[in-house]
Amino acid sequence: MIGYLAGRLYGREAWAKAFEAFDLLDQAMLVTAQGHFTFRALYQQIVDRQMADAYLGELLTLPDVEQQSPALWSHFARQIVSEFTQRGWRRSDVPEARLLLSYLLYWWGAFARGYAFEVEVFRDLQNSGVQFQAHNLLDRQQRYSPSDLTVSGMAGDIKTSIYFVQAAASLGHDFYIVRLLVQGRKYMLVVLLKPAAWDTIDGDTVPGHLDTVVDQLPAPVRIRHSGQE
Amino acid sequence: MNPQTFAEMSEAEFDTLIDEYIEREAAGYGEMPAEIFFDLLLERSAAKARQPLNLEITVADDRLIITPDRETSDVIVRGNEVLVGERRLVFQLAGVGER
Repeated sequence: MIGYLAGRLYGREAWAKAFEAFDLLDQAMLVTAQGHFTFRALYQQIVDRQMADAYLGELLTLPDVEQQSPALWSHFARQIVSEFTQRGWRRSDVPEARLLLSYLLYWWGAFARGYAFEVEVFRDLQNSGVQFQAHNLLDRQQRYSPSDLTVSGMAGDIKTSIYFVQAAASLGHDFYIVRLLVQGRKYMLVVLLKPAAWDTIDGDTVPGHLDTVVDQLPAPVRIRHSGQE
Repeated sequence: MNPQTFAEMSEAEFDTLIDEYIEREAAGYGEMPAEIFFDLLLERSAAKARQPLNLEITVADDRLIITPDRETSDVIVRGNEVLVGERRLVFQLAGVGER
């Protein structure tokens, strides 16, 4: 976790260990006079319910989400730090409490950066004239819909890479849009499509493998893994 | 030498770590290297799909609050609702609200 916070995660094993650490912290407990609370429940109570709507409301008013949303993210991140201190959880005699602040900030990053990326993609699609239906982020019912958008009848999700891996689940949608760091220096938007979705688009693909896909991007690469395409 | 654990850090070191994290994240995208992403996504998706998702239910002022034991992108839990695919499951305390 320290490696993640310090920007010092190098290599597969370091990343895998960081994801595992944040998995474990889901069920870590804060014990107070008021009761026992899991870190996950505290995130929902302190961050999600108190900050999510305000953040999204402001996010959607930004003219340039890509440039301006990081400052908005950090403004709320500093509020989380203040809230943590005001609640008396900053205790030098209980250094484990630092895990909680790290956990809250990590998941706040996943939420806030994820929705900022989503709005960026929606605006890109709009500007490109692509017809799509997106869920309304300001409506909690719609925000927690099974997919983020529908294009030509295909359901898709837009995810930041870290959230995608951290909250990994069965890949049930037709497509996923994700932003990745390629060759350590440039960012690239990558769309993962199920075979049926790709067949709808009907283009040529280049056969590839997990080990080679990074070198083959941005070509449309077809990958077979564990019996699935 | 960099501290190996949070317990080995002074307050000032921890504050610096958090400050620099916020500043760094605000300056970039904070995305993963592609080659590690693909590998870990498939590995964790396969592993997580087999794990149960435990839901903890608490009652506050006659409202049910459901909390999953982890975040997962294929089952969405918020407040008293659980969304699985297209199906929204709404949980209510017996004798409260609409039946």
